[in-house]
Amino acid sequence: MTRDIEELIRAAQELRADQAPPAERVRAALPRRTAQVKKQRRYGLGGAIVAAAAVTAAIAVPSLAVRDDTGVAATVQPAAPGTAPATASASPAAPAQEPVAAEVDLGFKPTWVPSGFAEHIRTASAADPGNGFGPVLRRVWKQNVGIGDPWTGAELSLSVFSEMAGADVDRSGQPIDVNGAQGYYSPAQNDRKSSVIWHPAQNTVLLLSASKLDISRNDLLRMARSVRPDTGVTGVPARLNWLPDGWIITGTTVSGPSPSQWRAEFSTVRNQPVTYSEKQQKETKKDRLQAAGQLSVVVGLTTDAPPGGTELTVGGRPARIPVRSDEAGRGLLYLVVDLGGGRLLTLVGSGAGLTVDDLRRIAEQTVVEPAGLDWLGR
Amino acid sequence: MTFEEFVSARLGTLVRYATVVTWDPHLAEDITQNVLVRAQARWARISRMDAPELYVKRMVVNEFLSWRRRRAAQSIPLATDTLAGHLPEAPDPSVQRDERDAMLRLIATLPPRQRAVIALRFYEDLAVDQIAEVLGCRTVTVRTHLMRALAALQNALPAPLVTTGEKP
Repeated sequence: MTRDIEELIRAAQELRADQAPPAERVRAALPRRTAQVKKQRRYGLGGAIVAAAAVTAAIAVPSLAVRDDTGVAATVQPAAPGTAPATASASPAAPAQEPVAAEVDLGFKPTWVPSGFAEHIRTASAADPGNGFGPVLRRVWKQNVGIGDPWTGAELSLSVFSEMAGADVDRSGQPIDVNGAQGYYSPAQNDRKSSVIWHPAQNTVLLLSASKLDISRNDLLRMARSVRPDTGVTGVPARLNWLPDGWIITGTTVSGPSPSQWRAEFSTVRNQPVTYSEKQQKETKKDRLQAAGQLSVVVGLTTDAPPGGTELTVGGRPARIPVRSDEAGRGLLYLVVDLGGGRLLTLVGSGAGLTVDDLRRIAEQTVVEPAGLDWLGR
Repeated sequence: MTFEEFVSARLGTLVRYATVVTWDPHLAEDITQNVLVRAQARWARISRMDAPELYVKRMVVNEFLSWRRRRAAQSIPLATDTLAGHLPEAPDPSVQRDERDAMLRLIATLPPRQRAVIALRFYEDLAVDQIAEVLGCRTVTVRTHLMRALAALQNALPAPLVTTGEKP
């Protein structure tokens, strides 16, 4: 008896799938793997920062340290019961997290970037109290960017760690000189990611990274060596005047192709302290925070919310509450408000008891102040 | 859907998928854990997508095919002696199971990208253009991988086990 080769392949694949490791084992190992991966990233190219503080599972890390191709800040969801021997409970040992500042010192800027690149993104991340990195400002130069989510394509970024404490620079790259400061160059390893890290001043570390970009060592070093102090500040062309109790803004991102086509995103979370099991406690040394709820607030010319939904007015402006019926989107709350002039306010979030009324109140007290955007596209 | 809800509902499927893509349960476990760590960090964004699971599956394939994994992918049980550890030692009395087991061994000999393509085509039942989207390549490239994989498997199977046209 013979069977069609495609049937044979499918049968073999089903057999192979039956040999998959137990899902529960994979799940149980996630907290430990989280800690391992984050540690590797900090010690490796992605982070290029060596944390002296204990690295633990399920923590929010400054976006740079773990930012990858999407550029999304690494704020984590809480572990569910059964996922790990971690249990959420009030803990006085858990450190508080300060929100990201409304205005952030630019600190440094490159005076030379490769032809065709312009600054299109600035993102500020709040400090994670557990890792000693401090707040991070990241400026990103790209060849182009749309009016929506900006995190696609090739990029060059300069990250400024201006309040580093308890962490040190990864010295595994090739030693180089950056205007008299000791630096380290990490070339791409077939992944189109290369970086230069250096320590221009006490508690200050700069990281210049190329991603999805074939850039020569000479050009990357030229850009690094062109970096000079920048006394300016940067802010967000909108303000959230109200958030529910316990929620804080942990990240802001301003992006766009030009000053008139800006997009601003606030990443907010409600943290909760987590106490680990006795075994994990020995490894992690201290209690940590996890995001029990997450909310994104975006002001822009587009929305990624689904169409339709219940219509209402918010602050006298037309709005709608889209609902996703698919399994993945069922738990998400949406609110889209038409701000006029083609500009939309989109809120999407879940967790920590967040309600549509919360979204509505946040929207009502959101102020749009388009100013200080001349840098977009320059 | 929160990340934990996603994991609760879909981890079993995801691990099976990763095992078929990698053809190595140990590597699948490793890759699945790494991908979930990354997905967890970006879940606020992924959960807003139309198809979060598809995105996570794409992450699995990309992780498998990434440079970091190439070395590991090439060291998965390609050799019969290594593969034997995963298979029954005695021949299966069922001819169909013989065929299936032969195929099990042969798929392990395919290059990683061809193995990923046949996983997406036959295990996930994706169309060629969907596979091209997942892998970030042209449809003609997918067709080439698919054709070469099928040709390699057909050529390597014992003659009585192969049919390429109408069943007798």
